[in-house]
Amino acid sequence: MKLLRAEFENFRLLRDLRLEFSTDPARKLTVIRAANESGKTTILNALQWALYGDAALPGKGEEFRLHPIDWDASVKRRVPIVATVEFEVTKYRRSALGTRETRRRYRIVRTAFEEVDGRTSRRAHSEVKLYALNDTGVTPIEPPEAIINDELPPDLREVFFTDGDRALSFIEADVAVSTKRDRVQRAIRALLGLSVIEDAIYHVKKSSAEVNKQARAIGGGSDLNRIASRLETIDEDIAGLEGDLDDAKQQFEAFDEKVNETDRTIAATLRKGDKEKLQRDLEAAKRKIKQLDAQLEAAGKEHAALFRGRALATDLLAPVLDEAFGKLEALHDQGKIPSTTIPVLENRLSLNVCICGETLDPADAEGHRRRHHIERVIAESKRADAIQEMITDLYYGAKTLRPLGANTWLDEYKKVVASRDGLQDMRNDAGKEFRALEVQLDALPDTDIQGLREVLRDYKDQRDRFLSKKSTIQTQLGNLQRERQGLVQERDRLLREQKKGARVLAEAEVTQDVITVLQRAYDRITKEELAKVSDQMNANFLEMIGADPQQGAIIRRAEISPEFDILVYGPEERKLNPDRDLNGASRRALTLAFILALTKISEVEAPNVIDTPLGMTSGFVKRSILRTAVRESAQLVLFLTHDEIAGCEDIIDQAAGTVCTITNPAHYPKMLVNNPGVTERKALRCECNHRSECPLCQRRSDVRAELEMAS
Amino acid sequence: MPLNDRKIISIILDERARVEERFPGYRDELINTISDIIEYERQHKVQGTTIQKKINDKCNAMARLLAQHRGHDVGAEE
Repeated sequence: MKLLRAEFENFRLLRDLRLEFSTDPARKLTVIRAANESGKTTILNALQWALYGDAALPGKGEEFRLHPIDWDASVKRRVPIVATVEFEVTKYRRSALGTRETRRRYRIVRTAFEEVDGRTSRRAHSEVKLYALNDTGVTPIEPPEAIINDELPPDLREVFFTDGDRALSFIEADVAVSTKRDRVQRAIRALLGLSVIEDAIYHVKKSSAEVNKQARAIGGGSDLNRIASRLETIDEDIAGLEGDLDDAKQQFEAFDEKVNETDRTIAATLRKGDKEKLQRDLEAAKRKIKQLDAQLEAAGKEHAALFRGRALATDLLAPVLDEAFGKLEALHDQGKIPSTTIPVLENRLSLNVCICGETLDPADAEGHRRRHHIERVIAESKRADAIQEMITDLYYGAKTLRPLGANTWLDEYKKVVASRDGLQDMRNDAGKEFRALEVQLDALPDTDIQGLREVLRDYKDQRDRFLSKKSTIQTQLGNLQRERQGLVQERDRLLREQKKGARVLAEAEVTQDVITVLQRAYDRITKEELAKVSDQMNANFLEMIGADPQQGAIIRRAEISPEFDILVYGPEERKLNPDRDLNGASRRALTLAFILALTKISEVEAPNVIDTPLGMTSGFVKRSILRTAVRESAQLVLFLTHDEIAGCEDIIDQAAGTVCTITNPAHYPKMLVNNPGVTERKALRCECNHRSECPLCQRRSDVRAELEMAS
Repeated sequence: MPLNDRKIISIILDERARVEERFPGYRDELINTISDIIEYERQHKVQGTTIQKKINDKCNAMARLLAQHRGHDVGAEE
């Protein structure tokens, strides 16, 4: 199918717009140049609406306004909205002379009415008509969907009509793996014709079953009848088991995906932190803090006790005490301390014998003299007695105040302070650790890891159950198919022996031959053609992003797996996640590479209509995407901004058969140089190509606009 | 006409060599039959036809041709 032209009336910004598309095989590119907010996406939506109806509109058309936003309802409340698309279909048919090609042209016209009432509007159901265009005029085709759904199946809408900014549905992150896989699979199956072949096999198998019934009828009560009956049962069992196998496969894949998803959730949560472990750590940190607080309290008491002890006093009074002790020692040396002389002397007097052994007898003259001297010393001593007694007490009593060594208290103080400071540091660290754990816990999503692990175990059990079931069914199917093969041979042998069996035998052989050819074609398409799409996608992708595996590029290759996953590999076959590991330009390139590969390998003649395919790209990648898209498409329609075109003019020179420019008059005076003279919001078309401009489309360059704004 | 009938037909043509040539020209006739069956399926997808009957008839016609080539009186058996 090729798009020829399109015409839109009152479709949002497209009040009356006509577009022509290039159909020249040598110049298959059509470029519609338009700045942002000039109607590019609206044209993409309008084309899809024309072909597929409301289902193709954003949000399936729910609350999606079709009429122009500045429609003057006071003049006319009922707005007719019309989208017309003309297209050409090439048909191929096998005949005795080979494959014959014919071309037919059609016009599809979709119409809707919206009743505008103030700010609200109501849309009447849209109507679609399809006409075959021929030399004699137009012929209505009923139903119109028959042609459209056959040529451009709705399942493949995203393949043919692509919004560059959203061209990621086959690889995007925010959908389940199964959804992406399903989208890729549906696109491949539809474009490669797998579903049609599958349906054909199903129906021919039913024909074959009918043939078997005829064989049973011929056989009467004989072996032929018994074998045909058994074959019937086997076919029923095989059909049932095939259904069960499909179901088991789907269930296995569903649980496998759930296992992987849950695994990823657990891993992602654990990367952020294991909540239970964090809670345990938090409790331990709490206990540690309590213990350290107790130790700190004890250290504080020890510290306080230091200031209440004698050691502090003796250390502080050491200079004074030293002086005092000096004086007391001197007194002691003078014999004034201790004051024990008097009782000793009085005792000696009473004994009349001196300590030295001389007599103190008063009768003896010398004794009398000595006695007199001692009595005078006693009298003098008694005079100084009160002071002496005090000094003596002081001398002996203060001995405990003498410091045991130098700086005793200070040493003790330093020891206690060091211990307390060490504890305080540990307490501070424990507090910080506790707070950090609290912050980590607060930041954690409310995920129950233990619960998730239980769910994971359950999913794994279920997955294993369906794997086992799958295996059992496959074995049963293998056995039944082997038995069937033997019975078919036996049945055919018996049919040959029957007079009436020749025709039934011929039918059995024909249906079997048809099934064999279709099944082989199906297997080939599944294996070989899928591999070709994968290889082509890889070649497109590497070319688009300029990755050369020989030159050590990070992206080494891309492939479509047998499970229909689009995978990208880096060095040493490491899998890259297209969502996370590829930049925006590469993700866009990968999606476009897949779409282009699929259309090319399926040999489908269908347009690729892409809105802003070169956004987020620049330089080599931009030019390369454009070159590859032109080369791989049957018909390529690109909606490009001026920035996307910049640097690619020479490629467009060579490849484009049609280029036009769309301008939004509302951009005057900020972005347009001249006043288009149109008051209403509408897309205006001019014939300017990617290198030219006219008074209608002439735009202010950023520099000129800034200069004017500055002045 | 299908999206990619040309492709499917080319693959089916490749597979014809694997089918027994039950009479001269059998393979070509069989491929034409399969080609028609694919076309029926296409039509059925968009128009909801009596597909099973059409395929039964198609296989039946091919079987009749095969039986005729084997020299059986097909009409007498029906």
